[in-house]
Amino acid sequence: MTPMIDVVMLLIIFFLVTSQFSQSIRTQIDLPKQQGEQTDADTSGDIVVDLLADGSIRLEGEAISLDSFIAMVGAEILHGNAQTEVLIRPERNGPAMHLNKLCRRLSSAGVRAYRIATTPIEGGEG
Amino acid sequence: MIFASGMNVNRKSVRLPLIGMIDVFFLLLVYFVVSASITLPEDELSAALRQESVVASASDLQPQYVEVRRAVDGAEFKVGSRVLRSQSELEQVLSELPKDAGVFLRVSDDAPVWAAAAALQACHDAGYEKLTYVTKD
Repeated sequence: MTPMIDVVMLLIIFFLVTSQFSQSIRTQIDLPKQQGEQTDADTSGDIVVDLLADGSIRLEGEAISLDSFIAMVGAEILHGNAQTEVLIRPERNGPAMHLNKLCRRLSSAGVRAYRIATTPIEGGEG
Repeated sequence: MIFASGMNVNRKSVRLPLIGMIDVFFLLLVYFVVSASITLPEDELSAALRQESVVASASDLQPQYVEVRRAVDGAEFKVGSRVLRSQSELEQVLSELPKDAGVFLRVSDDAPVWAAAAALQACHDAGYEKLTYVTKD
C-alpha cells in the first residue's frame, strides 16, 4: 500500500509542478506596474507574446518576426478561432511605438481585443 | 470511584508508516518551495482594438478621448483640453465624465509603455467598460 501511495503522490506532484512550469515558461520581463483588472477569466487559450523594448517579439521564449507572428495569428483566426485573444507582455520602459505597431498589425489581422500583462502593484506608477 | 483494574485492554500498539509519511511531507515541501519561487504574479488590462479610419466613421455617441504623450518628466495625459500629469488625476477626471460611449485611448509613439498601461488602468478604475485602443493607419 505504501509504495502505491508514494507513486500516486509523486504523480500528483509531477502534474502540479508541470502545470506551474507551463506558466513560468513566460520569460522574465519588466512589465508595467499596475493593479490590472483582477479578473478570473480563463486565459489558457490565448496567444501570449513578449514585446521587448527594442521592438523584437518573442513567442514562448523564442524570437519571431512580426510578419510571422501576424501570419500565425491570422491563420488562427482563419481556422475558426475568431475569439482569439492576444496577451501582450511589453517591457515597461520601451516606447509605445512598438506596441502601437503590433496593435495596428493585430487589428489588421482581425484581432478585436488585446490584453496587456502587468505586475500587480498598489497605486500604479503613472 | 472504582477503576476496573482487570479490564481487558488491547495493548496492541498502533504504528504509523513514518517513512512513507516523511517522503510525502518532503515532496509536498519541495513542491511548495518550487512553486512559490517560480510563479510570479501577473495581472492583465484589456482593451478593444481599432484603427483610426474605422473610429472616424464610428458611432452616434461621442466617446471620450484620452491621449498619452511623452513629457519631460515621463508622460502626460490629455482629456479634451485638460493636460494631466498623473494617473490619479486622470482617473479622477474620467470618473466625472459620462461613460456610455466609452473611451478611446490614443498613445503617441514616443510615450513609454508604462504610461499606456497607466492610462488603461485609470480608464478601467474610473468605471469605463468600453475601452478602445486606437492606432493610426
